[in-house]
Amino acid sequence: MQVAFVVLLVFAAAILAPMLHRLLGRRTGWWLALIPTTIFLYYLSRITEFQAGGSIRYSLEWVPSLGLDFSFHVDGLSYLFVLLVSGIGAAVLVFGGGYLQGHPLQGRFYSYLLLFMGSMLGLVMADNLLLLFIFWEMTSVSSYLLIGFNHQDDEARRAAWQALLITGAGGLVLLAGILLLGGITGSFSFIQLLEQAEIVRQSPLYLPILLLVLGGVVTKSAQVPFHFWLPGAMSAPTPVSAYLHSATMVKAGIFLLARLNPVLGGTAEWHYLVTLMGAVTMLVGALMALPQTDLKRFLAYSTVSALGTIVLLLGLSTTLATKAAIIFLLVHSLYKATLFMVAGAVDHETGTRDVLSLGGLVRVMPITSAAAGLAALSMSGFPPLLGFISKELLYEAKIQTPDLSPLLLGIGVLANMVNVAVAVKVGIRPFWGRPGRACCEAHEAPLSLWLGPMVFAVTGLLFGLFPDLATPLLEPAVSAVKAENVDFTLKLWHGINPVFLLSVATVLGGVVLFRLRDHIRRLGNDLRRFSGLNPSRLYDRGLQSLMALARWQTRLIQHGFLRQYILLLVMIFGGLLLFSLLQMQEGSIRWNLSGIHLLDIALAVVILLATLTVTRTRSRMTAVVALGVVGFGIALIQVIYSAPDLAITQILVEMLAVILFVFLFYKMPRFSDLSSPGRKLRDALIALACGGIVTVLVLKAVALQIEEPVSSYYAQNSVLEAYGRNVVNVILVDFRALDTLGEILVLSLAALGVVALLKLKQKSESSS
Amino acid sequence: MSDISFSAILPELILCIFGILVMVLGPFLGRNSRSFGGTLALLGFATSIVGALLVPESAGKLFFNGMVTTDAFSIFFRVLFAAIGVVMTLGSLNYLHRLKLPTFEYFALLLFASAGMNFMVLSTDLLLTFIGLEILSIATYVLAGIRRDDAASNESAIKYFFMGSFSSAILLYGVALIYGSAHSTSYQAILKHAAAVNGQQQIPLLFLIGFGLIIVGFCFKVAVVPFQVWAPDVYEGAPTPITGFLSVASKMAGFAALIRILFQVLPHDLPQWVQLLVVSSILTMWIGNLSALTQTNIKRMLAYSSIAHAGYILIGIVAANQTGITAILYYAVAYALMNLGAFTIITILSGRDDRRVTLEDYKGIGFQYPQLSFPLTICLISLAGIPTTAGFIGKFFLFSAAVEEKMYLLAVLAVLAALVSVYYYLRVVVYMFMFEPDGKREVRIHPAAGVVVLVCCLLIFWFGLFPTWLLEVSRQAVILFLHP
Repeated sequence: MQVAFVVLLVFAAAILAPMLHRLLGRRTGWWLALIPTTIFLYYLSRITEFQAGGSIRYSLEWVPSLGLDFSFHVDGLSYLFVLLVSGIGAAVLVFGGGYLQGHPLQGRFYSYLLLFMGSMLGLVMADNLLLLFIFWEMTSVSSYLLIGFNHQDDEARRAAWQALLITGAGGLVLLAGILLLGGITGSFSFIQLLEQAEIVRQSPLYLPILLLVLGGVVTKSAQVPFHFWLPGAMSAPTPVSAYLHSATMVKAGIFLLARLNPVLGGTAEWHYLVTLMGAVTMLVGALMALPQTDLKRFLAYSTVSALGTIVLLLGLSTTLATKAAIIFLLVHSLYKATLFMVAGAVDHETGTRDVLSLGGLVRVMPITSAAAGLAALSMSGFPPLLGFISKELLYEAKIQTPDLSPLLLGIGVLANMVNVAVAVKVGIRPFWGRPGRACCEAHEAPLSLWLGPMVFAVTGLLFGLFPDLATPLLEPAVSAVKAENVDFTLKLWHGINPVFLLSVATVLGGVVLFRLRDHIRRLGNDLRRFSGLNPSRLYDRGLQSLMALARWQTRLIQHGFLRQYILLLVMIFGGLLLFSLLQMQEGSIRWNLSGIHLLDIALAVVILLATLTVTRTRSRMTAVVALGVVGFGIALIQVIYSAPDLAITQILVEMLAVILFVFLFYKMPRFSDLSSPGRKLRDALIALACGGIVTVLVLKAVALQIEEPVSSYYAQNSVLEAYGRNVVNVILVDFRALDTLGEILVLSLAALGVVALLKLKQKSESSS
Repeated sequence: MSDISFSAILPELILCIFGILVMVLGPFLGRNSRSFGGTLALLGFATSIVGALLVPESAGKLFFNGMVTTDAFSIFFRVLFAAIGVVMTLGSLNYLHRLKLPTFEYFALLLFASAGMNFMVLSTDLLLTFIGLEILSIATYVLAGIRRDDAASNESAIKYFFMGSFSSAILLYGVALIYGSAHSTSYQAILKHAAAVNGQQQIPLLFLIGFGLIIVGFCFKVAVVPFQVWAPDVYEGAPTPITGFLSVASKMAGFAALIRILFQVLPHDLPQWVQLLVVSSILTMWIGNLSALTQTNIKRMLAYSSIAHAGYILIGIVAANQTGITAILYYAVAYALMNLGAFTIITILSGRDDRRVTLEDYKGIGFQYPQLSFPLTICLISLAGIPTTAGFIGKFFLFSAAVEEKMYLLAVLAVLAALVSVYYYLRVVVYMFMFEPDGKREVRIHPAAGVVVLVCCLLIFWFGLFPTWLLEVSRQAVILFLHP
C-alpha cells in the first residue's frame, strides 16, 4: 500500500505546491523537501530487507480486461532508484527554492518539479509495463513543462518542444514494443514476463520488440543519434538540469534497459546493438564536451557520454559489467547533481557560466568550492573517492570482454580522459584557477544552494573511503538486473595492476587535454563549420520533410474539386466491381435475345441519345429536358414490362424534377468554363469502363428468380382476415393502416408548413 | 400482426414528435422566442434518453415484421445519440443566437437526424437501415448549409450532398443485389440464406458484391480511405457545431450500422474483405494524421484527425474479436466526449462570423481564458491518446485487439500513426500557452456551453481513470455479435 501512497503523496504535493508557496513564501522549498526526505528515510530504514533479497509488491485492480492494473514491484533496482530520486529530489527542491527566489512563477515551478518526481517514482516502482509507460510519458510531459519554464524565451520553447517530441515519440515506440511483449506473453506484469523470458527470446518477434524498446531507451537516455535534445534542454533553470537531465529522467532509459535485461538480454542482438550504441554515445558525448565553454553545456555533453558508458556496460551484460554499470550510475548521479548545482550556485552568485571568465572563486565561495572539488575528483576518478572504485571496475569489465575488448577499452580510456579534463574545467579551475573577470564581488552562496552539493560530495567521499557502506545499496540492484544473487565486495585499493596503470594514464591524459584546451576549442570551432550533418539539423530536416510529405499528399488527395472527388468515387466503385468479377469466375452470361422487341430498341436508342445530349449541350434548359427524356424513357420501359405502379411514380417524380429544375435554372446563365477535350475524353473513357462493368454484372444477374409477389398474399387474405372485398381499401385501412396514418400525418404537416409560409410572407410584406 | 410494439421504438417516436413540434410551432412563434426551439429540443433529447432506457431489452425478439430490434447494442447507441443531442443543443444555443441562424429549422433537423441515426442502429432490415441513413443524411446536408449567406457553408453542403448521393446510390445498388440473391432484405433471412449456401457451394457473386457495395456506402459515411475525400472540405465549411456533429454522431451511427451488418449478417470467414479493410485502416490512420500535420485551420485539422480516428476504430472491426468490438463502443463514447468537448470550445471561440478558427487565433489564449484553454487541452491530449484520459484507454484497447489477433504490423503502424498525431494536437496547446496573445478579444461563455465543456472534461478523466464500468456496459452490448 505505501508504495502507491508514496506516488499519490507526491502528486498531491504537486497540486498543492502553488498554494503552499503563497502561504509559506521563501521557505517553501525546505518544507516541500520534507516529503522526499521522508520517503528517502523510510526506504533507507528498510535497507536490511532489500539486502536480504526482499521486495515490496502492491497491486490494485484498475482495468483488468486490459491487463492494466496499479501493480508495483520494488526490488533492488527500484530501491536504488527510489533512493536516488527522492534523495536528489529533496536537495533540488531546497536548491530550487534558493535559486529561483523571488521568481513570479516559483509556485508553478515546485508544482512541475513534484509532478516529475511523482512520475519518476512511479516509473521505477511500476511492475506493470503499461503503468511504467504511463509514468514514462508523464516524465516527458513534466520535463517539457520544466524546460519551457521560461516560455517567453524562444530558445527555451524550441528546446522544450524538441525534447517533448523526441522523448514522447520514443515513449510511443516503446508502447508498441510493450504491446508486442504483452501479445506474446499474455501479460504486462514484469514479474510474469520474467518467468517467460525464454519464450520471448525464442519468439520471431524478439528483434522487433528489442528494437522498439531500444527506441524508447535511446530517446529518453539521449543516446546517439538522439542525444541532441539533452544539451538543448539546458535552457531549463539549473535545478531542473541538475535533477532531470543528469541524475534522474535521462536515467529512466537506463532503468528500463536494466529492468528488461533479464528478459531481453543475453542474446547476440542485445550484446552488439546495445554495446555499440553505448560506445558510440560515449565517444560522441566526450568529443563534443571538449570544445564547450558554458559550464552547463560541458556537463550536458559529459552526461551524454556517461549515459553511453552505462548503456555500453549493460550491453556487455557480464556480471562484472553490470556491477560496473550500477556503481557508475550511483557515482554519476552523485557527482553530476553536485556539479550542476554548483554551476547553478556560481551562476547565481556571479551572473555567468562562462568558464573563460571564471576563476579564483575559492576565496569568496569556500564551501561551494569544496563541494565542487570533491565532485570533480570523483568524476576524474581520484582515490579515495567512489569515482575511483567505479572507474577501476569499469576498466576491468572492459578488459574482460571477450570480443570487443581493445576497441571498447580505447574508447573508454579516451572518454575518461575527457571526463578528467571536463572535471578540471568545471570543478577545479573556476575555483582554484587564476581569478577571472567575474570573481571578487561574489559572495558565498546561501545555505540552500550549498547544502545539497555538499551532502552529495561528502557521500561520494564516504562511499569511497568505506565501500562497505555502499554495497547494501548496490548488491540488491545488481542482483535484480542479473535476476540472480550476486555477491558484491568493493575495495578501494586493489594494488598496482594493469587497471590501476590505466587509471593513472587516464588522469595524466586528462590533464594534458586540459592543458591543450584552447587548441581544442579552436579545432572544435573549425570543425563545427563543416558539420552540416549533425543530428540536430537532421532532426530539423526530418521534421521539415515529414511536413513536406504531408503537404504533398494532402494536395494530391484533397484538392477540393468536387468533380475529381466524384471521378475518384466512380473509379473506385468500378474498380471494386471489376475486382470482384475477376475474383469469381462462376456465372456465365446468357445471350438470350429472343424477348427483345423493336419498341425496346427504339426506347433504348432514345434514352441513349438523350443521355448524350445531356453531356454535349451548352444550355441548361436543354440538359434538363434531355434528363427528363431519360426519365420518361425508363418509365416507359417499366410500362412495357408490366410495372405500371412503378412507372406512375417515376413519371410523377420526373415531372416534378423537371419543373423544379426549370424554375431554378430560369435565371441562370449558360454553361461556361467547359472541360478541355482531353479531360472529356478521360471522363468518357472512365464512364464507359464503369458502365461496361456494371452491364456485365447485370447480365450475370439476369438468371434470378424473384419470389412470389406480396400482392397475392393480400388478395388471398383480404376477405379472410379483414372481411373486405375491395383489396385496395383493405390494404389502406387494415393491412397497412399505420402507413396510411403516417401519410395523413405527412400531408397535414405539409399543409401546416404551407400555412406557416403564407403567414410568414404576409408578415414580411406588412413589415416592409 | 402481433409484433407491433411502440415501446420498442419509443425514443424514436419521441424524437420525431419533438422534431415535428419544433418544426411546426417555429413559424407560428416567430423570431421573438428563439430559445423556445432549443428548450423543446433539449426536452426532446432528454426524454429520448429516458425512453431509450425504458425500452424493454430483448436480444432475440424482433418487432415490426422483423425490422426492429431492441437488443443491448441498439440501446447503447440510442442513449449515446440522444446524449450527443443534448450536448449539441446546449453547445449551439449561443452560436445560433450569435450568427442569427434559424433556430427552429436547426433543432428540428437535429432531432430528425438523431431519429435517423437511431433507426440505423435498431434496424434489422437493409431497407430500414437505408431509410435511417437517408433521414440522417438529408438532415445533415441541410444543416451543413444552414448558413445560407456564407459561401463556405454552401460549398460544404453541395459537396456533401453530391458525394453523399453517390454513395447512397452505391449502397442502394448493393441492397438490390442482396435482395436479388437472398430474396429478402431482412437480416435474419439474409443470414439464413448465407448459411444455406455456405454449406454447399461458393458464396454467390452477387451476394458478395452486394455486401461489398453496402460496406462501401458505410465507409463513405464514416469517411475512411478511399472514401474520405469529402470530409475535410465539408467539415471546414459547415457551421462549427455541425462539424462536431458530423465528425462524431453521424460517424458513430455509420460504424454502428456497419458493425451490425458485418457481424450479424455477413457470413463469417470472408478474408478478402478483411484484407481490404486492414489496408483501408492503415491508410486512413496515416493519411488522416499526415494531412492534419500541416493544417493551420483548427476545424480542418480536427476534420483530418477525425478521419484518423475512423482508422483506429476500423482496427476494432478488422480484429473482429470481443476486445475489438467492445473497444469500438468504448471509443465511441470517449471520442464523442473529447471531440464534442473540443468543438464546443472551438464554437465558443469562433467569434462573430465563425471565422476565428486558425492557429493564429489561438495564440496566447492559454492564460487569458483558462476556463476554455484548459478544457481544450484536456480534450486534445485525450484525442492524442495520452494516458489517464479516456482517449488513451480506448486507443490502447483497440490496438491490443489487433495484437490479440496477431496483426502485429497493424498494431505497430497504428501506434506510430498515433505518434504523428501527438504533434499536431499538442501544437495547439503550445500556441495557447507559450505565445503572447495578439490582443484582447471578446469571448462570452454561455452557461449551457460551459456546463457541456465541464462535463465532457470530467468524464474524459473519469472514464480514463475508472473505465471498468463503461467497458462492462460495452461488453454487454456486443455480446450478441460474438458467435461461439
